[in-house]
Amino acid sequence: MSKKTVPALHVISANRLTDGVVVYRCGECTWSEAFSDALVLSGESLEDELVLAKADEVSGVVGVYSHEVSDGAPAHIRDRIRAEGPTVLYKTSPSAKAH
Amino acid sequence: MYRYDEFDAAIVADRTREFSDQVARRLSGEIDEDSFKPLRLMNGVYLQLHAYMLRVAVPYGELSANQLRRMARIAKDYDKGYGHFTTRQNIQYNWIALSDMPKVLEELAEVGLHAIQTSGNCIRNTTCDPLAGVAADEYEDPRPWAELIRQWSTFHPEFTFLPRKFKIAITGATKDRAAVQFHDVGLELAPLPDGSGEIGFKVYVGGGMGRTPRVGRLLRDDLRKEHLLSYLEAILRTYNMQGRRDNKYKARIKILMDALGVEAFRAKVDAEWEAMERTTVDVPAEEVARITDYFAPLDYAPVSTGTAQEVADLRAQDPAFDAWLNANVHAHKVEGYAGVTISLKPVGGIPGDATTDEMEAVADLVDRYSQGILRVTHEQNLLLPHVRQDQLHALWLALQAVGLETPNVGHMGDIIACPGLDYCALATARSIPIAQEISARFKDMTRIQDIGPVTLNISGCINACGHHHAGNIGILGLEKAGDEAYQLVLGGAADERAAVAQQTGRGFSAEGIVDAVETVVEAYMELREGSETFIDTFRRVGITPFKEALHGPTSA
Repeated sequence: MSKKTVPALHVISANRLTDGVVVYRCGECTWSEAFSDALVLSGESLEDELVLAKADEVSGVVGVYSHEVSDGAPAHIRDRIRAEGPTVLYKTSPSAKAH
Repeated sequence: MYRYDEFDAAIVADRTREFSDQVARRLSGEIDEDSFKPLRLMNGVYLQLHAYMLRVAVPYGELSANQLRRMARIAKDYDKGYGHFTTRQNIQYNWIALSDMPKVLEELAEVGLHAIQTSGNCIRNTTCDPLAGVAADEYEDPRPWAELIRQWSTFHPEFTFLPRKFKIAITGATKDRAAVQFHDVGLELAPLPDGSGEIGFKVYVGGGMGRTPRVGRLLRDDLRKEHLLSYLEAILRTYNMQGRRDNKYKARIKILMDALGVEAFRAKVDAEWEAMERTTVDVPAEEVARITDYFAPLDYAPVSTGTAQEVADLRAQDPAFDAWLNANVHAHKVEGYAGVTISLKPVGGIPGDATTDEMEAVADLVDRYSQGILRVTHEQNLLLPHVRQDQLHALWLALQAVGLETPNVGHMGDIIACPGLDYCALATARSIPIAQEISARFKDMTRIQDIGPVTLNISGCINACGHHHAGNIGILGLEKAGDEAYQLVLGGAADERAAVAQQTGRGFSAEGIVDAVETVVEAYMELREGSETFIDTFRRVGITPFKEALHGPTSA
């Protein structure tokens, strides 16, 4: 019997053009700052959505790309840091001030 | 310090207007990112992981207190209340919106600051000894020459699209505090070899970090000062015409020198120089004198002859003051004065970061204790160059009051680190958490004084912006099978005995690298003889004992 490979799951991300904030492609051709809103895609759906997303590079976003997700989180540390922010507390961050 | 005249102000204003228009057209979609990217890079604007980053130039590291106040205000109004001082004496802001960049650049221009040529394939900020003009071991102040280079290189029409970035550093002292031999061109003011006693330039070319670290090769040791700009032009022209453009990782001048060899490279530069109409490039003596006047020694009111004893008494009474004097205070060419480094490396802190409040506090101290002038060092600290010795104790108390008195300059804890994977789109591993953990491990100031002078550099990727190749202890963060992994290198040096650090063997995890650094330090403490510093011991014993301490005995 043939063994089916499960295609890896991806989300589509970019930086917002006006301020560079990380955004994720969510439903209905929009972008959200929250990773949890991201469309999770694979295979042909991913390729099709990437084409649509890249159209927003005219004046909405910069650097559209897709990255793998695993167990509901970005698979690679770089993408985790993009989603969650720096892992270090800069002195003026609200969390730093709370300590 | 140099003050912008109407011409300087006009070109900065023109550039700001031009970039404002480019930003507006990008935001509207009129120009695409491929067209906009080289334009924004030439104005110091990067797109990093989380936001745009703006790199503001601090020409040869010299700032006024008012300029520092403006930097503080930019951090407060447009960023998240802090800035980051870099390994090229600049400041970076990590969170400024593209839509705010034109306004930010206007406000910077009001105090003579800009972001011109802080990125892109052009001549970048020329860096300098942070003790320039006041160093006790100085032949000649390098700042007038750094200012001349700045004027010559800004918007130079021939060198706006070089094969790759180009970095120049200049020193005028016997001790090299500007890492000149790790720059594309390094300049050293020194007596000419003809025995005349006149000062000229030694010219090093092809130094650098990155994938292929190199110590610069001495191209000539007899360049007369009046020929500085024409000779630089000959070097740049040779590089511009012959440097590779097919592979950005092979495009620096060091690669060209490797390919040609020093002799052939020198011959090409000399031929270019001989053929050049030098009078159109070299600056008349009167203009050099006019610029030099801006850097004339300040009014140094005499300091009482009893001061040295007073300071000695105070340091005998207070070990904390003594530790700060040992590490952070430097000899000055004027009797009764000192240079003072403010460490931006608090225990467990992020190297090189300063908040708005800290910048404003330092600006006030600069006005009160340093005649309104400060320097940014390439080691990511700030330096007050004109402090009276009878005010050292008062300055120290004032720094304590704002938490900026850490006595670790040039010691463990004075870590140089790039922003790494927490911020940088190019990074392969985080550098800041490693710096913080090492700093916390070596938090005991008595211990770090006992260890003595040592440099520790951390880079978050092979581009080596943390200058790990030049560290006595260097750490390079990489990615290995999806995890962060850290290589440890030893024996680098950025001073006049420049050396590229050597590999110690297999790498370490994020958890293991801090223990590895401690192992290396303990090995040094066992091996050292007399008052040897870390690098002295390394040069005497070599890398083998350190490798064995880390990985066990090497096989025969």
